[in-house]
Amino acid sequence: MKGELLRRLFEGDPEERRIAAEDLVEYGDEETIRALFRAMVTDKNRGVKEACAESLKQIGGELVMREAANLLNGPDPLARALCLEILASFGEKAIPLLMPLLKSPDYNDRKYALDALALIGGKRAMDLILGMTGDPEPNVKYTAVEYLSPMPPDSKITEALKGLLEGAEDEYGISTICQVVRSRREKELLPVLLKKVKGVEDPFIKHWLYKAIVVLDGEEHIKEALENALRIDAVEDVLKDIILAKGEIPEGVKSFIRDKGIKVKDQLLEEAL
Amino acid sequence: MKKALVVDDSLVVRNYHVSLLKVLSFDVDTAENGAEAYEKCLQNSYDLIFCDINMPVMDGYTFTKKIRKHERYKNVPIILVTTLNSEEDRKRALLCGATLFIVKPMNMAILKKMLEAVS
Amino acid sequence: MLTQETFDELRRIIKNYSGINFEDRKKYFVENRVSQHMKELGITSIKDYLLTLRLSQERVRELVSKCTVNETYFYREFYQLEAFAELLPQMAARRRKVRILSIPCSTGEEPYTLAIVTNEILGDLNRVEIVGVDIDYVALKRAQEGIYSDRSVSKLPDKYLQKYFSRNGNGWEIKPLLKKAVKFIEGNILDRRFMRSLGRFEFVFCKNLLIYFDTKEQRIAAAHLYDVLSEDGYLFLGHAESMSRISSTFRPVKVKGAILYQKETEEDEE
Repeated sequence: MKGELLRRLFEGDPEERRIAAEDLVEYGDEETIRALFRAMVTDKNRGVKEACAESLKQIGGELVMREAANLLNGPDPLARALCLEILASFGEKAIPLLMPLLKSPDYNDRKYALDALALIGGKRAMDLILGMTGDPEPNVKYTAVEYLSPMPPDSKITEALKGLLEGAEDEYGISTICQVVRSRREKELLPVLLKKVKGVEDPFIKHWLYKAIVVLDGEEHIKEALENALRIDAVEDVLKDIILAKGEIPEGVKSFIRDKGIKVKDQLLEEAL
Repeated sequence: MKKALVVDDSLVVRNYHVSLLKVLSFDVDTAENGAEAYEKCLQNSYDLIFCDINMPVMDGYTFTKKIRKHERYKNVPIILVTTLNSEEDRKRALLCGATLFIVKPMNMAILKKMLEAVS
Repeated sequence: MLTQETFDELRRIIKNYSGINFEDRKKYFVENRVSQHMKELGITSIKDYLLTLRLSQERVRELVSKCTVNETYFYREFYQLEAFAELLPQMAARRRKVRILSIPCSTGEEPYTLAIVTNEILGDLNRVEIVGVDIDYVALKRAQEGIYSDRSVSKLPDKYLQKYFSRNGNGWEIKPLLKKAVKFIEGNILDRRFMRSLGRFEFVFCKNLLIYFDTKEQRIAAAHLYDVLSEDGYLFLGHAESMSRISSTFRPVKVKGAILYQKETEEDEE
């Protein structure tokens, strides 16, 4: 039966190939595992690829884990995404396999390993992700910063974010840090944000800093945030943040909007005003 | 108002790209992967698409190839904005019908230059 | 009030049986169904109730049944019916019999609605085979009886009500013509063997079910839906649902304003 399924996995029509991939889950030997990986990478049909990945996840075991890690930086984007999922399905057990990738000179490898760590989650993954916020490549560094978002409160993270914020200058970096600070409600960072916002000129960068400031504290900085938002036509964005932070728009802000003659297009905002 | 679609599996990147495009007066929608983007393209009409490459469910190359088959999207600028930097990926991007291939991070200066190039 | 531990335990039991996952915000809903069930069984302590569930699959089945009752009525999501009506004639022209699956079909409103539309469009119910599947045997029994309240038929155009229903006490009973056209089967979408046993369908309606599943189960359900869909068939999901975060093996198509899904047959070329 296995031989027949393996033959169909490569020679059948898409329907047969897919069903063979599903049914091969009953066999967990090396030959089957290698065949499923090969089909997952080379088959041209997305249904077959997905079915291979599902079966591999269910088969599990050391070999599946190793192969998935080896193929993370392969040429086929769907196979890459499926390998990430397979690895993540092993949880913390997969972490040792990711270690060498985190040190790879190719930053694409580091980025894939980081993506896998984020899917795995947990304390060990968190420590490694935190370490990657010091990566020299901005795409790796700020992806790591982004992955700090859902983690539980931790002074190490607060400290790291503080250092990152002080050092960041570009739009993407500041936007990323501010979004993470906002979603984690890192109140201790307020003084750093306020200092930073005074030191920059670019209204777009200021806008992102204000977006964090308004959510963390608000009241006295709302008007500055709105004045700045006016320069880049982003008032609605700030108003939404105010609602997020306070549940409503304070009277003072309403009159500010009226006095400036600002029109909002968003229906929900219109109602809130 | 011109409409843009931002496709990225990262919420942080989506928010960032949306805010860049809004400053330049685009009305912006978002999608989390290529399949969702494809579906949104059927339901709406976009003048510009910003798309990541590595995403779950459907990657940016596949999305671009598929949406280019629709008359409506034959000439709409599709800009692949990605962390990938290999020659191989650049080649694939052009083969799948993308207008431009940009390695992240994106910023306002690059965006403005890029929009000039595609308009 | 259920404690979090008890709620988690109940969720686990429900999930093991059906694959359906109730989120925290559904706690009140589950609580409500549980207390109803306890009353029916004459059980007063939650401990005894959990014990009963552990000892009897039948009781679990009843609980799942209570927790999965969907609000449903005839002629729900009319825009999708329009798309179905548009596609049906061409599909029927290509084959002797068109097979239609409604999963989950709950108390039968959807498959019967599809039977009505089919009869109106093709004028012949022998041209189709309609199958309703649900995990809830109580709902299926009611579907087979085919007696409905004023409320469930309130969206149905009056002429169809007169044509396809007869008065039965306070309710409306489906006429034999429609009853004969629909077959009901008890089964679970996550059960591969069961799904494969159903064969292929040209139209599959799977509305408001995937939203109950977590990512892993959504994948499995999507794969099984793929298996039961014929090569040129169409999949209908609920209006708030989309395949696009689950799997790219389906291709969305727009028909009469509705987004439907077909199997992606195109190969990825290099």
